[in-house]
Amino acid sequence: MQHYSDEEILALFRDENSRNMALHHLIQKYQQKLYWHIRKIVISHDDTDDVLQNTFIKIWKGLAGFKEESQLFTWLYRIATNESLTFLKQKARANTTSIHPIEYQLSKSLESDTFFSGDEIQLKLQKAILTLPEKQRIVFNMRYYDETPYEQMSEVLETSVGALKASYHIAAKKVEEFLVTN
Amino acid sequence: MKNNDHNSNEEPNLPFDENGKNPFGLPMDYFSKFGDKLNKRLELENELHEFPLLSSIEKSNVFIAPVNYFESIENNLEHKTELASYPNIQAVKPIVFSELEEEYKQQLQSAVNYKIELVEEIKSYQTLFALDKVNSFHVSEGYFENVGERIKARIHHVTETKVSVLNKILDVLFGKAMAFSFGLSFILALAIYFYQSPVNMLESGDCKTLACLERNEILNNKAINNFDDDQLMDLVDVNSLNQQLNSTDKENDARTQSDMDSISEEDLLDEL
Repeated sequence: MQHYSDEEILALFRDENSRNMALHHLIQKYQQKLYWHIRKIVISHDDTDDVLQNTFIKIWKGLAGFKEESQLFTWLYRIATNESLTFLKQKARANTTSIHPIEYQLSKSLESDTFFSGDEIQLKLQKAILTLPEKQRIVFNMRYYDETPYEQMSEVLETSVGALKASYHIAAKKVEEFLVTN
Repeated sequence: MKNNDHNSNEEPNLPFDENGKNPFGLPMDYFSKFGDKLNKRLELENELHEFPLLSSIEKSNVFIAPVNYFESIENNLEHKTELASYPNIQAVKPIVFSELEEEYKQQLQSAVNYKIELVEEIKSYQTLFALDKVNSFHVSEGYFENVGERIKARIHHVTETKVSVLNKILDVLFGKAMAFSFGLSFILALAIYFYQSPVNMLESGDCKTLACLERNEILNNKAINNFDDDQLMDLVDVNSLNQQLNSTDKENDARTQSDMDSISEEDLLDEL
């Protein structure tokens, strides 16, 4: 399917009569990209579905105020990332009964997740990724899986390229060590 | 050498060699077929005669074949003959290579460079490097077909709720009930204002009670005009009035005493 460009979507949004069309094309273009970005952070499909919907609602509410200083997709990714992290914080706060950190719970839930089809080594890799701190985890996923350039990541995560490179290498080293030792 | 000049009635002078033979050869049965050929040509010309515009256009082949087409046709046929015994290979659509755009070439070059950069980056982590980059997560069937509609429904719901709350507030603010209650409140406020406004504070003098006011002052005040005796009595602070009166009596007694002391016996006798 041929997607509209970001500029075309924004032009549709600016016209009151074509706003619904802008929403349709925005969702069509970004739903999968944002879904997979969120999924790698919150792990569970159901949680991802919730966060994805909240993300799009936030995007829609804030689109009128989008100043086009950055590219649309970096702005969308930033909202999705923030929503995912907020969700994880809320989940951690709500789950007061467990003594384990949220990453451990996510790792455990992965084993019983019906929407996870990875083999043993893939499961181990995901568990290794889940041992990383939040920010490193996002950097690793964006670079390793999505192959996002550091410049784009820098805009999304509002961190310098140098810091991101360092973060990625530290994360890769930790993952490697986990895979070797476990 | 024979003379080449001739007139129309004579047979054309044909060149003959030394042996008296004609050196030019002719295709076989040329003259026997010439009649038929001419008839066909005349027939075609007559056909086109009906269409003068069409017949005026010069007949030429406007189509051109690709360069080296006819040279390669033999090779192509040979290639096809070879493939004839392999139907699966034959079924594969051949790739048509065309000239790539310069922009695409540059994009491709940078994409390849970027891939190399990614590989180089992870190369030092051997275990990680050896793993396949696969997405082990998946979604329920038809999820992406429906999620868009669900998101749109939620956004519309949020927007409608926001609008309806605003509408409700506006309805309450500018509705009939609010207008009626506002009017009623205004009338009540006016009534209270006019009812209370005539009451002026009376300068009650030193003793701070009505007792110190002159009778005319009290009677001239509109607010007191309509007071009955009980209401007037309620306005009087009895305690302070008593104190005032007592102090006044004492002062009078003292003044009388001092006056009495100051009168000499002679003055008193004179007065008598």
